[in-house]
Amino acid sequence: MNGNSRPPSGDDHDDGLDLELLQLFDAAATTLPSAAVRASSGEDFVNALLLRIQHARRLRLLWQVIGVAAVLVPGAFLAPYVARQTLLAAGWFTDGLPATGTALVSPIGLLCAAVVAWRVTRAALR
Amino acid sequence: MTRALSQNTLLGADEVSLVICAMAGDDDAYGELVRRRQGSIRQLFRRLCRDPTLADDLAQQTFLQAWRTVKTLKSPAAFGGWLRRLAVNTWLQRLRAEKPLISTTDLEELPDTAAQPTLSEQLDLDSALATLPPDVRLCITLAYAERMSHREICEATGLPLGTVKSHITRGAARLRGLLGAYA
Repeated sequence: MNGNSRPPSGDDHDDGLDLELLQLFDAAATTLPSAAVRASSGEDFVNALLLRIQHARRLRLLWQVIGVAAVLVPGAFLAPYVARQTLLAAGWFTDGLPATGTALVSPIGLLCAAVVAWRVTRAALR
Repeated sequence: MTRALSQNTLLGADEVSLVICAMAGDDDAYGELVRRRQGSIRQLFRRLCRDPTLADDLAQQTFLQAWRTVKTLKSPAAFGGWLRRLAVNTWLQRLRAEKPLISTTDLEELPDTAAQPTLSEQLDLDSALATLPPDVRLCITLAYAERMSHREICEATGLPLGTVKSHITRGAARLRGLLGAYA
């Protein structure tokens, strides 16, 4: 029926179903005007749908482009400001570090600190 | 030539292969799926709304929605049932947009034509279906025309199982009354 006959799919399928009504529905499916219309206009239906799909695809692409532009354009405008603020913050951070701390962080400072630590440790062990 | 071969391949392909191709974004495969399924979906809507133009529009909405969401389908073999559930959802959305679903009590309030059907009430099946409240008509159509089980209808419509069974029993009784010729 309906061009897609299939066996009952559920174990409770026949519960409470009227067999005569079932036969009537089956018979009506073959005589329904839509059955004839379906054969003639099926291709028109598919073509109309494919057009709608193309339209939907174009619309989706357009929204994707708008979405990317909505991120990139403000990003391009804001980039110099963000870079300037980053440099300012980095400058403030390095200025704020104590001089001894800065010396310790440098390679020479690290080397000196290691020598001092080695000598202190050695003196303590004697 | 390639196109013709492609068309021949599509025509001979089984549905699961077509669904897999459609899920990968192949519009030709999806078109073939629509070609195969459009008859049953359009007929379902024609039974539900009795307006061929509206039925075709709802069927188009269903297939368009299916195209948008086919990638979310878990099992390609379940495409038929999934599509039918989409169709039911489309119909329910349409009903909700128009007015709230009529409850079972409305069916009880209808005149009891099952008792003594008159000649004017010896209606054809579609006309008889049209006299049922929308949710009852939906349950009856899915059970009798689409051969869906009560549980499948329950899952597709979101109605409680008891309500589905009640709609089918009461709706069938009313149909029997209206189509008294064979009762």
